[in-house]
Amino acid sequence: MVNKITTAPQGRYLHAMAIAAMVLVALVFAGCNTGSDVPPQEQRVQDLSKGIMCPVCPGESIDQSQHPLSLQMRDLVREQVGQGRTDSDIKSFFVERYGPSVLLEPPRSGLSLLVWVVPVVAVALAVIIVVIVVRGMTRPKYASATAGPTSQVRLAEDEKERYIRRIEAAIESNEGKK
Amino acid sequence: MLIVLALILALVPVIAILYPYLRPASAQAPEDESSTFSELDRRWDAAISGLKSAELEYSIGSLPEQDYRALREQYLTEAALVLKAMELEEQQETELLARVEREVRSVRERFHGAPQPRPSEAAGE
Amino acid sequence: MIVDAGYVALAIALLTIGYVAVASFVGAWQRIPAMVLSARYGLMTVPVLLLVATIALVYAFVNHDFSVAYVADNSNLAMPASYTWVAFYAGNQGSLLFIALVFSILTVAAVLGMGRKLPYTTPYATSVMAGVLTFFMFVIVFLANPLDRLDSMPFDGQGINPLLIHFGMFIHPPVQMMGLISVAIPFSIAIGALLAGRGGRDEWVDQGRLWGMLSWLLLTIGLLLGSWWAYTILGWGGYWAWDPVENSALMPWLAMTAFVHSIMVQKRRGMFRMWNIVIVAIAFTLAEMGMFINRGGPVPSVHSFAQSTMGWLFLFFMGFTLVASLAAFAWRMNTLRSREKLDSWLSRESAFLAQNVLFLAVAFITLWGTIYPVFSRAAQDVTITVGQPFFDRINGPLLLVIVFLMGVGPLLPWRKASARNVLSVVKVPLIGAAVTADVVAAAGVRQPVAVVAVAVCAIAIIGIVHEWVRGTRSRHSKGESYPVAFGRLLMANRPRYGGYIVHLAITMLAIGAIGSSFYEVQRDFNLKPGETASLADYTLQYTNTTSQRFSDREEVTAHFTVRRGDESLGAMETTRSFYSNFNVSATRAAIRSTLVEDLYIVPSEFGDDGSAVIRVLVSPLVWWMWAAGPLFVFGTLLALSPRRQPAYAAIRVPRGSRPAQA
Repeated sequence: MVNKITTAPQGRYLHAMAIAAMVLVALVFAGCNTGSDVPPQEQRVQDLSKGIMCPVCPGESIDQSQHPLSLQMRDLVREQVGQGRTDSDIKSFFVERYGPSVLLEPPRSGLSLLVWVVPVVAVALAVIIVVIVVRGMTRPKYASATAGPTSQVRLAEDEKERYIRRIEAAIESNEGKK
Repeated sequence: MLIVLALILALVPVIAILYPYLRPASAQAPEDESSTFSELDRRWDAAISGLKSAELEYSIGSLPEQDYRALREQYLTEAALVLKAMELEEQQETELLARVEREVRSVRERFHGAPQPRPSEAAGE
Repeated sequence: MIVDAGYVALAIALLTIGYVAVASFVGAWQRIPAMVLSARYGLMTVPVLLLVATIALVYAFVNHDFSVAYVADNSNLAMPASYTWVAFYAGNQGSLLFIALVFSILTVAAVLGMGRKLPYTTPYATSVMAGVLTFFMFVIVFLANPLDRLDSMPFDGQGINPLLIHFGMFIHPPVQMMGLISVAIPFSIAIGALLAGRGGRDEWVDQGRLWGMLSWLLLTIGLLLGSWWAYTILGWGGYWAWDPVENSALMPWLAMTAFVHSIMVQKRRGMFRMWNIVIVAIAFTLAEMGMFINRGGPVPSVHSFAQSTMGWLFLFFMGFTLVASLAAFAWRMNTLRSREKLDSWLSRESAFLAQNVLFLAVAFITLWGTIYPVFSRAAQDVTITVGQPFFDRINGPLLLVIVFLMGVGPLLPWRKASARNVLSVVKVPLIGAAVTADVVAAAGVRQPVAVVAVAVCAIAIIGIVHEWVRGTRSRHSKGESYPVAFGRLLMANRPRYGGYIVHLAITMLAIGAIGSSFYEVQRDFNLKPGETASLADYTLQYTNTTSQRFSDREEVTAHFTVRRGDESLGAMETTRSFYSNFNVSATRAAIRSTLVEDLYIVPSEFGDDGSAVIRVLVSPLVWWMWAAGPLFVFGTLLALSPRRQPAYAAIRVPRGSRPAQA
């Protein structure tokens, strides 16, 4: 028969789990060098560059690409950040010259709002559908009423006991074989 | 030369494709009587693995005792039903086979020892 | 001569597989066993024919036969024979032949494996697989034949794209392509069962699960290898940019992940029958899209795909398979009613349903973002770029929810869970996660998203480990020693624990992604020989630049010595190679990888005075992503390994001794 462990000493588990959590954490902590090595201005340049696409390299940001044009554009960004311009000004600067496709992130206005809205709607719809489907599935009528091979079989109590004993014995012996 | 090579290459699939048509005995229709058994087998499998899962989940504390007992009863009953259904199937099959055998034997007995009747007489029986 | 033989073999293969597709279906439908068998035998000759064509192409490469157009485009005299492997699938035509060859072999394996177990379904499944292969063969023979000849033979070939000459490229594309085409197999089994009218019998589920998981594993490894290649060779310090090529490989993976979970519910409870057919059809459609977008040659994009004639043909075929599967589904829908009902919304079954829907949502969003630029150009005549920031922002949180579900789902028992019990079990990982979050925050991790992400990973890890501990303790209390108990626990519940191991691998991926996404530091330095630069704890001293000229390229290497604090870490070097033939540069990054972080150096520019502009990155926890690979393989194989259940056969009372029925 099954030996069930009591749930009472959860405290002991908590201890062990906390230790395991600490190990994980130590790793993450050690890895995450949160030292402010990179001066905030330079960080801004990097973040902006990661959002601007290199016009001649398909799909790469000017931060990623090593194309001379990308390097030039990066310098431009650095210059403008140095001049104190805001992020949105700098982005508009590039959009003026290269068109809206130069920004890797679609704008949140006009028709492009659709890009952002559709996923949110899709997820909301998905949640609603799941709730409806689950409720439908829990209704007793859900399962098919078609006859299966066991639907015609009748079992008397004592018969059932005998079968069950055979089954349990078979399971025991199977366990032993492993 | 290329034509020869092409013919040799073509011959491989052609022979493979034509073979079953030329030797029809090698192809047999799939037998259907196994399908009830295989359905029962799957149900058996599902019941047993359900039982195993319930035991494991109970032993590690995910399943409370009450639910475990109820599930166990459910799974064992299902397994017992399947077992009985299988035996009934087998029994039907055995009885059918026995009946066919009896028929064959009785037909044979009727002609045993007696001179071989002409087909028309036998058909008229 | 040999090349001509290969050419002929391709044509014969097309005719043969066309016959197989038709004969297998008609023979099953009209109950003509000879025709079904004939189709099966015909199928087995197709790998042989395709092998002949493959050998012909390899022969042409090795002998530098530039009269063959494909060889001229993808190799040259200077190319060593060992690169033939890569050159074979480097271009459109060759990759199609590779896919066809691999698929034909997999199809034969699948048919041999299930012929006896599914006598009714197999002919229909064979027909579907053969149908897909017929399409590929048609395209190969008439539109993209790798053995086509040029009118005049050039003196030397173009050479192989230099970006492909890296260890990663020797295995990533083949594995990725195998993964994509192998989705056709569980698809064919499911549709075959449907056509045979046996979708509701669940016979096909075992084989469907087997091939589904194998296909999933190939897709997983393909994606990991691709990311690793991008990281080491493309030289921008990242491994995933959500570009169309990557997305088209990711989407079928998402659908297959959903499938391998929901198929388990069908196996155990006879539920989700309709859902599984729909999911596998979606997965296959996405896999087709993956194959069709990645056609080798110049950088593929969604736009170039839409513009080529072959693109339209592929699109048509995708539409055809999707519509045909849905038609078959609608036709046989009444055989797919569920056998049992859902006992409770709080159960493993409904967790699987939620997981499925989330995965499909992510797949849909990825598809949406990938295709949107095409729409916007058509609608507005303005091209909008949908790049990394979009996907990170939308898919990121969803993926995190999925990881959370992955952590909590396994804690739910099958059928029904009582809320009280769930809470008591979920308490441990939740508390552990809260503790983790606190420590991480105290340690200086400030970004709330990162803290939450780490906490979610902690839930998953602690949840899994906790169950292992409970299970082992339970067996231990029956008298087994701890190691034995754990081993037996694993072996007695292989699908479950194999699954947990895969979940652990996913968490490793997540941890690597979190660390490198949020806490990567990057700086560019302009150094003259002898100057030093420092980032994080590392100090690099730039020694000098050497350059070397080869017949097809010029290599420029920057040398450094690296220290960490007081400790010397030795020398590192990073190379940029410029291939004048292709006008392309390839970078080999200098990477020093530890469990904790990667130090990554790539050159940006080389000055004439020996100075160099370099980019240095310190990226935490990247190693964990690659280390997850072997764990995926181990977990999947463990889950698939056959196990012994108490079989009915062991329990029957022998016929002779059975008491006579009244």
